[in-house]
Amino acid sequence: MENGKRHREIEEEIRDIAPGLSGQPYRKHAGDIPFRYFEKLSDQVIQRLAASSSAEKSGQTGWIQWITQQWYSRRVLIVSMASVLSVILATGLWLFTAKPLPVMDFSQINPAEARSYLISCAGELDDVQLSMLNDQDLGEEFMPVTDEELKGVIDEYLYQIPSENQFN
Amino acid sequence: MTDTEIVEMIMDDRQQNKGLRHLMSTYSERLYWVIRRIVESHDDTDDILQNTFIKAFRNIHRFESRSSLFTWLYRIATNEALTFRKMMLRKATQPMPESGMVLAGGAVSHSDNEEQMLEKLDAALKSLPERQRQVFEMRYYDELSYADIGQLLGLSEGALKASYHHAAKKVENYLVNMSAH
Repeated sequence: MENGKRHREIEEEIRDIAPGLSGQPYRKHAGDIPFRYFEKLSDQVIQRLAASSSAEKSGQTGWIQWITQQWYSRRVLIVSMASVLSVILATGLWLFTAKPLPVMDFSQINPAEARSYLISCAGELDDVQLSMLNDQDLGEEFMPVTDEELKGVIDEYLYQIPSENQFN
Repeated sequence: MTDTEIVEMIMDDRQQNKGLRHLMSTYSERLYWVIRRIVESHDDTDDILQNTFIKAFRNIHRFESRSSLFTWLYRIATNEALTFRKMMLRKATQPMPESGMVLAGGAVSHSDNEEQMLEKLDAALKSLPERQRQVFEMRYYDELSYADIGQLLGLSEGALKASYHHAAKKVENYLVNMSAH
């Protein structure tokens, strides 16, 4: 339905229902509109649509351009990035290509080798260290003893204590 | 050109600009006044109207032919205009009229008598129940068909006619009483 026809129809309707509201100036469209506004409107809308779609396209590639510019303009960034990358690559290569460390298997040691090693080391020890080693050799201490031997050791110990106290 | 033809043209990449021009030439003037009644100034109306068509263009695939194209556009336009008005209300120190209609001031020039009449009419509309006011505005100002109003408000044509009738009588009586005092 055309605008004019619809307007007349509604005007007639309100005249029948409420005549006081018919033909009022506020029902008419009031207000200034620029000359040929509606003719130019479609061009403006189409221009806005074209601009927004091109902006969307440039927005999609914009971040790539930004990164590219940064790469070209900042040599320091390039060098540092290359250094980091090379370190990462070298570490990775080493991890993949390095042979595993040999694991010491003590059961494979020859007793003769062990003895010679210990003798060579003993030469470096002083008397105190040697006596400590002797003290630690407690094998004899726990050998089975008779009651008489044990009594003799205790008496000897008990005899020594008073004599030591006498010096104090 | 029918609504369906316009929609098909817009959805066709080769003809979408042509379809958009048809859409605007058919509905821009009616939508303009719908929006301007809400936001008052031409510049704001222009912005909202352009946004309405851009939004419609981008969402044309969502249009379902169950309602008329104008009803669909009307819904977009009023939503845009009301959103704009709410935004302006938040910014403004002076609140704008509560009613959806802008009846006075701004670019619309009226005589003193008309200004008084508009103020009375505004008061009369505020006295209406919400649904009656909506129906009255859509019919009296926006000149929508009952079928379109029915689509927008989900009411039957008979109920809408009755509602409009009651609303118009109430407004008229309100204005008569105001004039008598």
